[in-house]
Amino acid sequence: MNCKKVKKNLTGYLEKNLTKNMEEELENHFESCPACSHLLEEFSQLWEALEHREKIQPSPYFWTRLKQRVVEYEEGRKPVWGWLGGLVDWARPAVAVAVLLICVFLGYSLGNFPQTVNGQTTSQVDERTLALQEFFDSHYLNPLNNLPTGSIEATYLEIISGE
Amino acid sequence: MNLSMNDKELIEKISAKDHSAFKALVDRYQASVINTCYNMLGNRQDAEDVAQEVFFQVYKSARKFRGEAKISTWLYRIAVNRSLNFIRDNKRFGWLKSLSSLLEGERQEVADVPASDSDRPDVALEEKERNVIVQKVIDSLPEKQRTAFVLHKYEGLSYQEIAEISKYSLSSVESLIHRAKLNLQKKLLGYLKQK
Repeated sequence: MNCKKVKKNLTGYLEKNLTKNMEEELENHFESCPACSHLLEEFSQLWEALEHREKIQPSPYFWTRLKQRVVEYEEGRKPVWGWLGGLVDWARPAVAVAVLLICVFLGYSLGNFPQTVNGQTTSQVDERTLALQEFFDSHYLNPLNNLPTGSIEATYLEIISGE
Repeated sequence: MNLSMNDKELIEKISAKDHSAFKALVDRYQASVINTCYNMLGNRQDAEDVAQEVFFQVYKSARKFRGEAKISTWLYRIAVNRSLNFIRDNKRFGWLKSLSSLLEGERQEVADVPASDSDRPDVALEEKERNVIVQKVIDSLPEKQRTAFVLHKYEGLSYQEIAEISKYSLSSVESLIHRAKLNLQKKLLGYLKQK
């Protein structure tokens, strides 16, 4: 029996869970080894403290506090709100879905919302621009396409257009 | 039916919000519940707070109690679960608690340890120190080992009763208690080596 083996079996020795042979071996070792004997003494004090912990007494106000809490709980559960409490379980996911749908709808609406320029909607601006373009084409561009061949104007136009 | 008539009547009356029946239940079991929580948590105030939660839960859930187990089994189960939840929450927010202690002044945890009956101050101090060490080594046990050890050693419950409370198998309970003792022995020897 060596000191290492003694340390492994201290708890078993104190709780008398060892075989008779093992118990005798340990006792013989304690008689011949002052260090292990001293260790046994200190360890047994700690083990004794572990085994027999004092029970604590409940505070005298334990019931008072608990009763107060129960009363407040009962008062909080008034009948008029009782049905509302039942709604909470399914209302939460329903509200989440509703919020999501509203956000999708808003996003879509904002994306297709007609833009304005100087107080006019985009469609109105487009119509006006188209009218101006047509006027420009008819009064300024079309005549340029019908210049007499060989004229100074036609020649100049050829030079500047790179043809 | 597993319940005694007294237990059955108590639960039925508590389901009907009978406060005197509830008080009877609290009077009967508060010491066990508080001490179970204390042995799991190591702090008197925390133990009482958690015990309050346990009984409040019982009050709210009395009508759901089917009577398949004893009331004591049910109470121990809630007490253990609430204590373990408290420990986990404490670990998660332990830094906040430390900060609070730092700002408010350090809590005297040693004061929670039961005082010694000895007339000699040096002996009393030694006993108090031993109790602090004992609490620390229990706190260091893994949750399952701590649960099994506390219920067996301090509440005197059998392995079968612990198996019903914790829903572990009987062999698991036996193994957990054995490993808990080995762990405690190792930690106590480690402390003595450092001393």
